[in-house]
Amino acid sequence: MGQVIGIDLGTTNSCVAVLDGGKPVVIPNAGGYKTTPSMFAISQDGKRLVGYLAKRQAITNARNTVSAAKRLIGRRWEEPEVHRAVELSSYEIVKGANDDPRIVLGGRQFTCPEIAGIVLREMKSVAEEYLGEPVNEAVVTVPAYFNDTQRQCTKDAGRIAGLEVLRIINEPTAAALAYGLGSDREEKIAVYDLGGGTFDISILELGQGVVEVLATAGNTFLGGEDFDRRLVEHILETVKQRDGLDLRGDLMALQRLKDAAEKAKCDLSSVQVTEINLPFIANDASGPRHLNLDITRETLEGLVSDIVSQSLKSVEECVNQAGVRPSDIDHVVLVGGQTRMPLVQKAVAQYFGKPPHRGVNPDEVVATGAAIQGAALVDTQNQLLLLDVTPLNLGIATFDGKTVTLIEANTTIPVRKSHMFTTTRDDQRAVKIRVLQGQEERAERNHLLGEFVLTDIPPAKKGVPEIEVAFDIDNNGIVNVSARDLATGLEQSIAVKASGTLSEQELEQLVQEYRDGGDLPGEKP
Amino acid sequence: MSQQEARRLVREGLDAFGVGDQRRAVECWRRALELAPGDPEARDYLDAAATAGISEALEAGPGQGPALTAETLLREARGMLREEDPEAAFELLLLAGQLAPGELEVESYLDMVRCQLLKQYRDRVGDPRARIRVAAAPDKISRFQLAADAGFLLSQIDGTTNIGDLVSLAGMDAFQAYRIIDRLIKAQLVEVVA
Repeated sequence: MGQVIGIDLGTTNSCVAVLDGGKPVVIPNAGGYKTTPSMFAISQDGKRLVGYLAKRQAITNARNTVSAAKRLIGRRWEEPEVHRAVELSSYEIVKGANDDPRIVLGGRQFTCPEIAGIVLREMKSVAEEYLGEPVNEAVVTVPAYFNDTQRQCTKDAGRIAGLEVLRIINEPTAAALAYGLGSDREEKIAVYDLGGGTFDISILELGQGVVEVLATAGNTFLGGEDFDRRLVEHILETVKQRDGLDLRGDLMALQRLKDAAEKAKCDLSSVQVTEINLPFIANDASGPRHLNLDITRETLEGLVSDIVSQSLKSVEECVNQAGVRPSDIDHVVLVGGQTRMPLVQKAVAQYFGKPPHRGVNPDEVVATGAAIQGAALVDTQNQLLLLDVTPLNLGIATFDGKTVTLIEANTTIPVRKSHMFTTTRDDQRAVKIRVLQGQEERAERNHLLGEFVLTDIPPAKKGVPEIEVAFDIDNNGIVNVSARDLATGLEQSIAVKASGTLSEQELEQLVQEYRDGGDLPGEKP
Repeated sequence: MSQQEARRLVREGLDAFGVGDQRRAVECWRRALELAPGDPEARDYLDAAATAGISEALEAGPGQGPALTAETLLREARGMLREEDPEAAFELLLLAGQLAPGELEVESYLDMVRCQLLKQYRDRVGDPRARIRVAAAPDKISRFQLAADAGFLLSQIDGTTNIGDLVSLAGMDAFQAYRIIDRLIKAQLVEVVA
């Protein structure tokens, strides 16, 4: 049996880890980097580019480069997040056949699970290169607030990548696992996750191996890229004023500048001053122009301090939602490369009144936790597992538009609850049931996971038939439904199919397409 | 400073050539080469002018030598192709294109020569799966006169990227990317890793 890898499928970057000799190892890609951009592109010469290669041409080929597809996965076209992404993305997003957002690259429509699958496949191959053997099983992480559809789509992405996703775990849970927290006594943990494109704050309560998510908050459009953007703007303005060099509109120059700004930002986490040196950045009548500029940490901090303050507002909101005080938090865990910035660390430490945990790289901590979970799943001797809880209420819609909760949020998973259904008319042969996820009382305000129709109910007076419908939430947080007619004992097969997910036929077609090398129709390998 | 002046002169020469002032064009390119010996663009244009007999005609004085039209340049370009020198033919055709923008025959020849050259560049550069790395120190590189597109491509050469991927992420067509890589290799600024 091959090894189980842990994958942090991030909005901006992804990371893969494995347990090697009992110790977690974060696996570097071919370029030597331990994180890989979650980006995919069709280049101008029709080639598929994944990871760093896609990132390095993201500005010069913006229309055909997709990033942050995770923001869209499992969402319906109508959702505000999708509309925001449509406004802000440089690539085209269209409404798909399943009411899902789809991305157009090189004239072909890609579903979001497909894009995620391409990234997961890249991480799989990074691991295979390192391990020297095929990898078929993985634990994949998702944000704690992901609903059933988003989790199901992530699982589908794994299948497209040729991976069996043994378990989907929450990102903050994985971070806690990486630090070995919560195995002994009851503790409250704040996980401050500032990634490239999103910010999540979670307050967890850990105890006796169970992780309860007390509250989550954040901003799906705030992250390290905002820091980069501010720095790029600053450099553009400075060289325009100082050198009379206007690089706005020059895509090659902007690509180099964006890469250099990101590197400078990272450097400034460890030094006070760094130099940006871009020779031959442009040409004009006087010949080649070069860009040389010193950037100080103080300058960078001045440029982004309001973004850090904005994140702290979400922290405050989350702490209030959780019903705790900052001083009640036992541990603060930082996740995401942007948390390396001293200003961020200082702000978080000040808020909670204690320094954050150190020891695991913040951009590797989630994958590390996933790898620990993955190894534990196949190791029968390993007792230490953190159990997640369901993040949202699961219920059904009533005839008057309300929601009846069947499984409450924060119930430890896996969980199974059943509910008795009957008819409201004489000789009624079918009942339609709408399954919802969310915290709202009104049905239309919750996320519709799917609907199904119970059929072949034997004719009887209204209220007489007894149909037991069981709702399961498995270890991955994914909902399954089964039904049994108590009079006849017959089981009914019920498929809860959410809008926004792929049909089995579509999924199988994609799995086939990608199985052998994965070259897309009409595309150069 | 002299390098900047050389760049200015190369462009001034091209502008002059475009409006039919071959004399001023050649003068500009010669002065550019004096200021920046080895400047590849100035050298290419002067070579092309010499091949087309432009320099010779100018030296012979007014009224001497061939008429300097797109047709003349096209004829010379055909000659270069017969002599299996598509690089020189390409430069002549570019100049012809400056004199007669949109001229179909010139454009057809340009397309054809572009294909020939792309094949040559690909053959010279070698296996697209091979990695490419920077081979010169930054101070040596800074002495060269690189255009911004060459500067961009050079900045993407990190020692781990292979040639095929470099061309794909270059944000320019394959001909332009291979032409730049070929020139960077010739100038010993980069090298293919075996």
